[in-house]
Amino acid sequence: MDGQSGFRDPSTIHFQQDFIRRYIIGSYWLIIVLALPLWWQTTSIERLPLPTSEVYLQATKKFQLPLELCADSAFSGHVPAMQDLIRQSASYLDAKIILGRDCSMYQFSGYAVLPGTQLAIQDKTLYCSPDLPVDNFTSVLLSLVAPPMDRRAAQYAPRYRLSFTLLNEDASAGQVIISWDIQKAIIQHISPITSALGTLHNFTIESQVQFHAPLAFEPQPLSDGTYGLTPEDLTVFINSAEWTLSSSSSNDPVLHFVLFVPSTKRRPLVILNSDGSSSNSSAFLIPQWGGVVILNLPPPPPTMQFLEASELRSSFSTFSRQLLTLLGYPRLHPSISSLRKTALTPWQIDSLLRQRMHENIVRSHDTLRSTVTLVSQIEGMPVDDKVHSQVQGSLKALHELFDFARTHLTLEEMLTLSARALTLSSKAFFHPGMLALLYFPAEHKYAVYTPLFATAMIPMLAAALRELAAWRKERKARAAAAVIPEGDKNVNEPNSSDTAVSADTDAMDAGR
Amino acid sequence: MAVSEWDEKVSMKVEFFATLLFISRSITSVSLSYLTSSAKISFRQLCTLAWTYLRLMHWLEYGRHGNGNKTLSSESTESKSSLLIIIYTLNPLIILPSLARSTSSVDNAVLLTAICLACEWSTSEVASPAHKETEVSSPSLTDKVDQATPPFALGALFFLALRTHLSIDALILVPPMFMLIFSSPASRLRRPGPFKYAQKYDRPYSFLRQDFVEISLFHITMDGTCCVSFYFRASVIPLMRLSRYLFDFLIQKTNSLTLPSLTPNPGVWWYFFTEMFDHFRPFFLMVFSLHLLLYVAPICIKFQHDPLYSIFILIGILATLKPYPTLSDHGLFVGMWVVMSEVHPYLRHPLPTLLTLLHSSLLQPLFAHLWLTHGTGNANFYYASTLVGACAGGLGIVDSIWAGLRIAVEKGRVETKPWRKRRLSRNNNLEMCM
Repeated sequence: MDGQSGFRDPSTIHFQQDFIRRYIIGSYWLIIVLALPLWWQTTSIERLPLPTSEVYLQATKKFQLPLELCADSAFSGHVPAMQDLIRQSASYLDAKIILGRDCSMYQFSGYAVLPGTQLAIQDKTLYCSPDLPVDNFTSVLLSLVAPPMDRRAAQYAPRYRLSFTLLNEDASAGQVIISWDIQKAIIQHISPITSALGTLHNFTIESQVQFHAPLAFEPQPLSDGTYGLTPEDLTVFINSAEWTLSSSSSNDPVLHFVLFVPSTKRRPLVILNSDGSSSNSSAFLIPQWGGVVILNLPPPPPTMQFLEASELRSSFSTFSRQLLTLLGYPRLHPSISSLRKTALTPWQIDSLLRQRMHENIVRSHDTLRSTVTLVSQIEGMPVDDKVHSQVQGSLKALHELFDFARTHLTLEEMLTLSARALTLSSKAFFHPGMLALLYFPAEHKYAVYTPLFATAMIPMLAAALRELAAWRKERKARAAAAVIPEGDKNVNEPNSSDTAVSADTDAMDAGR
Repeated sequence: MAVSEWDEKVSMKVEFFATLLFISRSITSVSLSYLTSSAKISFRQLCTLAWTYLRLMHWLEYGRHGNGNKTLSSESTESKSSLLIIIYTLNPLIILPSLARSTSSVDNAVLLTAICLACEWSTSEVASPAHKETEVSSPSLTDKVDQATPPFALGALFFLALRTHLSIDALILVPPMFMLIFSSPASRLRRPGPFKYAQKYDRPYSFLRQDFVEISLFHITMDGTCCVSFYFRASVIPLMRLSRYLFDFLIQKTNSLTLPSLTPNPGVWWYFFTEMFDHFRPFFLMVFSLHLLLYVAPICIKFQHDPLYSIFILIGILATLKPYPTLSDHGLFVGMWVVMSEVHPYLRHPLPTLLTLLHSSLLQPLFAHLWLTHGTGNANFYYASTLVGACAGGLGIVDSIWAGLRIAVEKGRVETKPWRKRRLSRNNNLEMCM
């Protein structure tokens, strides 16, 4: 049953023919050639053009906010010095002091300085006695109109989270505070501030109680049985590694307020001055972060306790003072007394608004300029349409803000615009896509392509070159063979026999 | 491996054994599914198994005849079909996805239905077993075959469209499927020649024009019916929104090409894309997708005389190189390999291929368990075994291509020669390029 197997000549098989082979190589190369524009399109960096010149132009502009102050004619002597001084200390204020006999009509819309028996402030009016020396008068008015920015204040953000934490250092060692009447304390002490400053920031308040919050260091025991915290200890007091003091539910900046209850072994805990003596206060402020109040409970301690609102009063008044400092609220000059019982006067709130607005504009200018400079300097940095639209939006907000005189914006609207400009410029600068190709030299690109494509292209190139050489040889052979039969035909014609001619041509056809 | 060597008795025993095995496997899978979850899924699974089994049976009996052996005997058909049943049902690559209740078994079944319908070019030809493929068109033939498209062709395209909807990578099977519809599935590997239409189509080009329109309309209707049936509950959709839903629905079908999920699978894509820079990701997605498309034209050109063989090879390429391969893709390749029995004598290294596949299949679950459950290994272990599996797939494809071309060099019939006594001549300067 062994079949009679022989082999055909491979060159006679249909798929061995030249044109099949060339079609196959051609189809491979066709797809590669068609893929080249796709390669270009998928690996090109998207760099939308940013309005560079506009940003530079905007960054040079200075913001000037007009401020009108109506002073009674009794203070006419102090006025010229006042104006220069204000312009010197706060360049963004274009102060104009109007001397007028009757400032009463300004009482509802502007700021007025009126004569009075003592130094007092009420809403937007300052009562001052005319006999006050010039220096005192100027310092008082300056502190109201253009207060210096507190370095401890946190940077402006349109949304803030206030996080109140009750930390028991060690609940297992004895006394533990299981809960506190935080709602009432907030309503009593914190809500007035947040509602008064509601135009500036949007506040979210969260609170928690923790039962085991160990310190990362040992406070030094003092001679009288107390434990002291040196100023160096205060800098490392917050054990950020082990304490979780704020939830990670949003990206808003947080101001932390910590009520720390030391463990029974280390009670009472006092703060030491730099010279070693115990200080009176049991609270300290951490700039731009928050505040800590240490609660030393009286002995003998019951095992579990609930802190009433009355017991929290002193702690929370400390917290409210710390909150005002952290928000940058300017302090009243100590000689001024407030005629209303509220701690926050509209004059000071307005000053804070103006200060924050100026700060926002400066920061927006800086951020935009840095963004544009960075993009122009680094060739490999992509600029996608989100960054582009954010830069455009920030510029638009700044243009609207600088146009306030024409559109008659209120102070709150102007602050909102400045906040939006700041937010958009920060988002554009810190966009994650901008950092992608910062350290990506061109050599890395070759390292990525070569392993895959060089090894794949070698057989293709070899096959293509081989086919090209064979085709060229074939063409040459065909051209050479086309010459020969004419020559032979001339030789054969003297025979002039049809059969001989046809036989010769047949033989030559077979031999080709 | 010549099937007609087997005894009749052996073949009957084999068939009985195979049927018994099939029933027992169904029972085991039914009982397993009762142990694990609700019973109604086992019914679907039974349907899937039965469907794939029936499809293959149908296809074998009516599709692939003409081994080079012109005469068909009923025993050889039966023993071949029993061999096919055994290999398909005992194949662990087919059993395991069915037991896992994976939809890849349904993918396989749909694809096999499409191929079977495309093969079913004329039932009248099968009735006479001694029929030879000649160029003579008898008057009876022209009476039976009508000039319009046979319904099987549209059915094949419908199932192919369905398969493409299930996974977009099956697009590479569209050109050879068209070639299969227009020609015959009978093996012409021994007599390669240019692609020619089956003789039932007297005027091929006019038919092409008419049917192409019908076929395209069929694809569009298929997509449209899918969309409409998907959204028919919200029947108050205005027309413009419907067209937008249609467009989104169709665009979503290409989602797997953007590699949304990098879950480890027995494929080669996921590891490459975990370690690559984001900047190059769209470029390499484009390259890998184009890589799949790259092989369609060369294989269809080279095997234009036998489109079923080109479908077989493209299924192998799909199993190795698609974005989210499953075990049943390799299982389908192995199953189809059994059908192409005339090339079995010409394979150069079937045993190493099988052993590599076995090696990879045994190591993959071990390394996956070590890495993902134990946490002692890492991804490189698992990916190395996956690469060995891809190597096995590549070996299988290359060997099949070699055998498909080598068979044409033989003159006369050699299929009866036992495997052991064969000496493949290597002295010939056979330039099997590409």
